Formats: sequence, structure tokens, C-alpha cells
Amino acid sequence: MYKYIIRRLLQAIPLLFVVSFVIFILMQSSGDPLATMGGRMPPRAEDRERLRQSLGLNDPIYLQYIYWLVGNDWRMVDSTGDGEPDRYGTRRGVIRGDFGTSIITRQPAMQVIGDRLENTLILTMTAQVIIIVGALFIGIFSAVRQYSIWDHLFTTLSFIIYSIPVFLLGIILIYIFAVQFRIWGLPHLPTAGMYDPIEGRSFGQVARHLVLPSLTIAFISIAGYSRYIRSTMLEVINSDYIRTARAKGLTERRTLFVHAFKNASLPLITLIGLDLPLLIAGAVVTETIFAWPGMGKMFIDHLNRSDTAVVMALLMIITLAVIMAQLLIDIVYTWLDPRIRYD
Amino acid sequence: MTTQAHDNSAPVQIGAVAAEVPLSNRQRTLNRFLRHRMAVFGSTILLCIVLFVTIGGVIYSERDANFNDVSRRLQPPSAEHPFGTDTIGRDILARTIYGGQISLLIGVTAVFMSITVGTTFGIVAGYYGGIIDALLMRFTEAMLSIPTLLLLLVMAKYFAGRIPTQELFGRTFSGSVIVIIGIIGLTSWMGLSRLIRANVLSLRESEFVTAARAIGASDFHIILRHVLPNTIAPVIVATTLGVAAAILSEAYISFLGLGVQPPTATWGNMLEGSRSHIDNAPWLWFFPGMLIVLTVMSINFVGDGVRDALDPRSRE
Repeated sequence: MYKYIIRRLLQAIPLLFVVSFVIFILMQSSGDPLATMGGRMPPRAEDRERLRQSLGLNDPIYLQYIYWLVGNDWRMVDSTGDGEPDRYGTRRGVIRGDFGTSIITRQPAMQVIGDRLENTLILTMTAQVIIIVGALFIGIFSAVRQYSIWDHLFTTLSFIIYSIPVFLLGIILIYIFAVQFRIWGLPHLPTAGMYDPIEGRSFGQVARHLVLPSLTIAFISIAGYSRYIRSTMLEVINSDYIRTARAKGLTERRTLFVHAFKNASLPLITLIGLDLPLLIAGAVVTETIFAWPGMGKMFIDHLNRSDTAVVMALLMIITLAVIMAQLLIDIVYTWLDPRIRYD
Repeated sequence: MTTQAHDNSAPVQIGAVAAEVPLSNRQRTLNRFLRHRMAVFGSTILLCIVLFVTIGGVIYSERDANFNDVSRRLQPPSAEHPFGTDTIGRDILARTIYGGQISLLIGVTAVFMSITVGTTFGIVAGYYGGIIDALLMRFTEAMLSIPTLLLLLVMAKYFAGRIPTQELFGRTFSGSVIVIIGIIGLTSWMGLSRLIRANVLSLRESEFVTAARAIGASDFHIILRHVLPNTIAPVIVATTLGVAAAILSEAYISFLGLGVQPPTATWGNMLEGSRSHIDNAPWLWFFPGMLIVLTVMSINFVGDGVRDALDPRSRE
């Protein structure tokens, strides 16, 4: 087992290199990070050139990547932009935990992300809880009452919801619960931001603002997950050991939730584990619609302004999270199903 | 393609078929598909949507779709503009028709690309094995570990404005359409390639491949005539479902403003900006939105039917 974990971790290293290199090249050669500098007053051509030189944007791309990776404190760089290297660089590189400085805010990339991470986690974790509870309830219910009216209803609904793009679902929810509810004189829900600026940030405010975006994320995943849970539950319910459990007189509840559910939860673990990092990425769209000040919205903003440091840092964190999640799933699997062994 | 595939694999399956009614494999597959009610329903809707964008294209010209008149902006649906008008006074019905053509075109061509790449990688990795397999699969894993939407956005930004506008079949295609087709095609092949590799790994050891090799068939011949036809089922299923996924991907990128650029309409970019008019102009998002949902849903139904129809284990 330990050998397996170590091997997987070693395999992840070249993978991260490839991913970072490709994205770095795509980012550094697209758009002009200086385009939005100076606001309405574009910098003069010679200032611009000096700025490019001092930011290191004129270096060959492989050198920029090496600086990003291992830092540039071992080499003389041109910090004044006059074409002459004058002092040692100050960047320490990703390998030593320095993800560079945002070209827009001039803060360390990690700090830019850290400020938003909490907001995204509040949104995605709430959504995740709704997803797991909702999908388990609907999935198990449909499996136990197979071919009942409710089962058919949930099947049809999940097929429809699964085909709706997230942003459209968000718009529909806003239209119903904010626009129409206001017209009908019902208590309506807020649609933008995390809290009312006048009321200030409080638990109640954030909770109210959380309802629509978290439901938007949750609905689509529930539609997908509940189908999986239904089919694995059905498979397990019809297996011999469940018949045995019933035959020896266990209560239906104990049979379903202790004996059947443990084995039926295996595919669910995979799904949740693999989707968790993607959920954070998927929040891009939801956060844009609901103006939620999280990482997803930040990603779009910084991508549009070619802020390589922040975009790279975010993508690396998410990629690492995906790899770790996969490893964790493999480990949890051996615990849930002792028949599975690695090595 | 289906027929050929099954004719080729017929010798292998003879044992299983011999005792039953002598229907050809093709007929049996078709029968199974037609018995799948949702799949037939999906095909019907899909046909209606295709007719909508083609016949509509005869009635309205592309000029109508791109003609704007600010004095008639944000008009609700009326006899003159059945779907209303958008923020700069363009007719939404005409735009859903031409947007639909582009959305469907993107869906189909992007999938064609992703299937080509996925099948090639899967077969080469599975058939040759060794170092080629290791390299290709590490590359596949690398691609799989970046969230697709984020990768799509980064690539859309990279290629934006790099492809000039193209003239094809007497119509003008914005370069961004080609960019979107390319990036969706290049970021959606991984799942299929893993599936095919696994299939090919087991096919490679089968008797008929050994026999073919024994009589001196070339690798190319074996792959084309013996391996590929036997792994065609997942390819067909992936193709069908892939079209739906590609249409959705286009909608996401365009909604975020990095996709197909106006004036060229797609269902996705028609929804961009509708966020600010949810309350006063619901027709802005309702019509293109519903068309996306209907299309994706019916393709998913059809894909489901195709999967069941091609599955040799499914009952007669």
C-alpha cells in the first residue's frame, strides 16, 4: 500500500511539470498584461518597453518558465528596465512556495487567491452538502420504490435538469425566486453578492445570499448522482447477501442502510472525490451569474487581464487537488471494499 | 459505419446468433433502438430542431439575423418578431435559427475531431503498448487532471483573434468559430481514448488477431479490419453524447464572453448579457436557452438508446 502511494506521488511530479509548462506557454503568449495598465492613460511607448523589460516579459519564454519554477535569485536581472542587468532577482519560484506576484494588484498570487478561497469554499461546501443529502435521498428512494410514480418523476426530472447549462438554471432560478416572487408579493431572495452592503456581513445575510447559487450548483449534480445511486442500489438490493440479510430477519431499515448502502456507496465515493476539485472550477459560471466574490470569478477577471501568476497558481492548486483526490479515493476504496488491493 | 462494423464482427458472434431468428445484426440493433421510447422521442425532437434551423435559414437570410436597429430594441415577442428583439434590436427568431446552425455545426465537427484524436490515441496506446502506451497515457492523465472548463478558457484566450475570418460555402465564418471547434475537440478526447485502449488491450490477445498476424497481416491492416470494428460501439456512443457535451461547452465559453464573437450568433453567445435583463426581457434568454436544453436533452436520449441498442447483453 505504501509503495503504491509513493509510486503514485512520484508519477504526479512529471504530470505537474507538463501541465504547468503547457499552461504557462499558453498564458504568457496570449494577450498583453500591460494593456490595462495606466487605466485611461496608456503608458508611453518607451515607458511600456521599460516596464516589459523590468517585469521580465522580454526574456525568452523558457527562461520565464524557469524563473517561475525555481525563482531568479541566482541570476542578475534588469530591475530598472534600462537594458542592463543590475541586481539579483527576488523571486524564489514555485518549488520554494513563491507563486509570483499578481501583475494587477501587485500582491503575492497566493494572497490574492487566499482572500477569495474562503468565499468559494463556503459556496461549494454548502452545495456539496445539499448534493450528497439530496442525491442519497432521491437515489435510495427511487431504488426502493422502483417503477413507482415518484421514481418515474425523478427520472424524467433528472434527465431534464441534467441537460440544462448551469448558467441557464441560475437565470431560471433568479427569474422565479427573485423576479416573480417580488411581483407576486412573496418574500424574494437576493441574487447578487454575498451580503447586503448596507446590512453588513452577518451569518443571516450570507445564508440568504447563499440559497440561489448553492441550489444552482446542487441541482445539476443531484440529477447526475441520484441516477448512479439508484442503479448501484438496485444492483446491490437484488444480490444474494441482501436476500440472506432479509432471510435472517433483519429489519428492512438495517438491511438497506447498513448492508446495502455500504457497498452501494463505492461509486458515490469516486464521483464525489473526483468532482470536488471540479466543483470549485465549475463555480466559475455560478459565481459570475450571482456576482459571488469567489475564486471562479477572480479566475475570469485575472485571465482576461493576462495575469499569469494568479491564473497559474490557481490552476496548479486545482490540478494538485485533483491528483490528491484520486489518490485519496484509491485509499478509501481499500477500506470500504477489502477485496481491492494494490501492489 | 455501423453496418460495416457488424458485418466484420459477424464471424465472431455466429455462435450466439445461430439459434435465433435469422435477423441481421443491423436489423436487431435498429429494432432495439426503435423499442427505446425515449430515444425515438429524442430523435423526433432532434429532427424538428434540424428542420427549424434549415427551413428557417431559407425563410430568413443571415442579413436578417445580423441586422440591428436600436429604435426597436428589447421588444417583446410580437407578430413581426415572434421571439422579440435583443438589446440592439436584432430579431431573436432569425438569430436562434442562424445561431442554431453554428451551435450544431460546432457540436458535430468538434466531436468529429475529438473522436479522431481519442480513437487514434487509444488504439495506438493499446496496440503497441510499452513506452508509447506509457507516454500517451501520462499525457492523457495530465489532460484529465486540469478542469476542462478552465483549460477551455485559457485556450480560448490564447487562440482569440489568431484565426482570420473564413469564407466557406458562400458564408462567412468568424475565426472564433474555428477556434472553438478546435479547442473543444482537443480537450474532450481523453475519456474515449482510455476506454478504447482498455478494449484494444484485450482484443490484442484474442485468437482472431493472433490468426491475422500468423497469416502475415500488417499492423495497419489488423488495426483497421480487426481491432477497430470490434471497438466501434463505445465510439458511436461517445460520438452521440459528445455532440451534446460540445454544444454545452460552446455555450459555457460563449456565455463567459470568450467564445464565438458577434455578429456571428450561437445559442451560447445570445445568452451573454441576458443576465442584466432577467426581469425586463425574459425572451432574451428563454428562446435560445430552451433550444439548448431541448437539443442536449434529445441527444442524451438518443445516446442512451444507441448505448442500449449496441449492447450485446441487452435483451431482444
